[in-house]
Amino acid sequence: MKNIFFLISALSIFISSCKKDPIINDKFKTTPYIIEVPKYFPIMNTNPLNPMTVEGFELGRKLYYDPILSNDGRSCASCHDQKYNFTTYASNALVHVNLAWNTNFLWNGHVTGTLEDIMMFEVGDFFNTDINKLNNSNDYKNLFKKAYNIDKITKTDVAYALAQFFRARVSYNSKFDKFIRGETDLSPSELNGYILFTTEKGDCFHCHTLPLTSDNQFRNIGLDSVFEAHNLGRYEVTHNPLDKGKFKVPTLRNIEVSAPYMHDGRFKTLAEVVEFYNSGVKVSSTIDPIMTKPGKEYGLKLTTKEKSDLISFLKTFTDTSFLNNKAFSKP
Amino acid sequence: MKHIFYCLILISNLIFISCKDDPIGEKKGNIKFGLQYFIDNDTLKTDTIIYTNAAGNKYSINHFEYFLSGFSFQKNDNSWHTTDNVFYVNIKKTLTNTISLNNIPYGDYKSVTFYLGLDSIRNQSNYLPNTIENINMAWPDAMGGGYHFIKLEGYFLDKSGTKQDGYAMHLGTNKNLIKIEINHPFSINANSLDKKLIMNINEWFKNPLNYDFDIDGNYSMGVDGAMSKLAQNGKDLFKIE
Repeated sequence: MKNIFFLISALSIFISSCKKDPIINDKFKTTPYIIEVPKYFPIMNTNPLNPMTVEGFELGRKLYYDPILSNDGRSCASCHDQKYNFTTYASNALVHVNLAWNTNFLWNGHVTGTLEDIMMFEVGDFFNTDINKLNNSNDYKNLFKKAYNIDKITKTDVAYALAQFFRARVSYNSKFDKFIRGETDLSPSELNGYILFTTEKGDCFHCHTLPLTSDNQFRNIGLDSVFEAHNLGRYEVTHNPLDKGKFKVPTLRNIEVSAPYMHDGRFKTLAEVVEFYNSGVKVSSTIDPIMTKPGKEYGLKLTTKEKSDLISFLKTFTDTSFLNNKAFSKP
Repeated sequence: MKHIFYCLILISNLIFISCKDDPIGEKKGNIKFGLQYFIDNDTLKTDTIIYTNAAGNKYSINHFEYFLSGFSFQKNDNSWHTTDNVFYVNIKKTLTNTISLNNIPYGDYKSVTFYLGLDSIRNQSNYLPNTIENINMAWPDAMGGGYHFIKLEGYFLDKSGTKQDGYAMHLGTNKNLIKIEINHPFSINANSLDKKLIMNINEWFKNPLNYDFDIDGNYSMGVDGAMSKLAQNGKDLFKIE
């Protein structure tokens, strides 16, 4: 009996020794980063594999402003300037605001999934980041050690840190938000614009769903009637003819400072944008039916005052506390 | 010996807990519906204009999301068991196309009823959890609040077959709530019951009223006549297998 006991004990030791010990490092501690999100916002998409930490956020922020990611001297911030809602006029790049709720990225949805997925695209395909430069930097090696407890930095680690900085940039303190929270009133013009926005007359709400102001879908809004290489949009990804001319519905958050507008930046002002919706819609076989409702086949037919009211309302999405938030600026 | 005694107590407790009896001893089971989509006899293939409705419009299904709620089950003795669940369904999101209803009393049942949409108690702004799907289905407060019951969108060809256009069949407001009633015998017991809940999408456009995109329009929201037709046609959408 005693022999059997020893045999079992020995076997147990053998089996135990085959297992890899978990990494136990009492020195690795991170600080949780809490993202403030108002109650009326949707539940945020998070990634359990990349929990938000102060160390991860700060590392992502540093990387965002550092040309070390590219091989031509550019950083993310070169085309994404905070004061313009993280875009620039010259680049007409998509803005970086409230992206935590997105699952389709880039104008044609070339990348789908999480912020980690789109960051993998940016680090890999867009910048083709030379990971050796980061591994040769003691500063970055220390920061990645603190954030992710790693000794060798990979592109995935870089993407994860960037994703944290993207996930944290939430805009929720515009005049519109304060109106929703009952903290302020809209002016009569803004209020009329709000009603136009959320009713069939203006019919902005179907695609620019409140409060995020995008339904994350792809639509042909009638910018063109002929589709060639530069404006094929979603078709470039799906190769379905029904997707020709469709582009991602962009957010309207901080739209006042995000000029120019549309995927090709063809409109320089909000007045031009509203006038397009009012009288410039071009019909094609893939145009969204919302754009060609009975009686409004080529535009909304708003009065001058209604157009002005709509623009007044669009400007209530401006969130200066976000645009000036030092926590998101260059460290 | 003492340890064995405690182990026996623990095991007996676990066995007791695992019996799904409620306080008065009624046993309860589960039913799971797998949602499937057909156009008459054909399994749905999205994003291509290959189907024809009763009015003769050739059309596609590109986007379809909707709510199911208020499932009730009628026993053979005519008593009812009602549930409170609301289910968001998107035909392109696989996980939303399986819906499970739990804690249904054991017994023999003869019919199922449910709503396509939300009844007036639930069809109020901010009633549902703030998921991104629910928020995208919101019906603006300026238009009465609540939620879209369905968003069915795609493309169609006119009768000559030369002009392609989009359509958006949106349905909402309490008067357009669709009540589905299906006679289908089934039993709830210890085994979880798997059923297919099959929608024939062509039923949206026929029975009792043909819906013709060329005549009735390609956009229903804010058009009472169009929404009314869809709501009347909706009652025969589903069958259970």
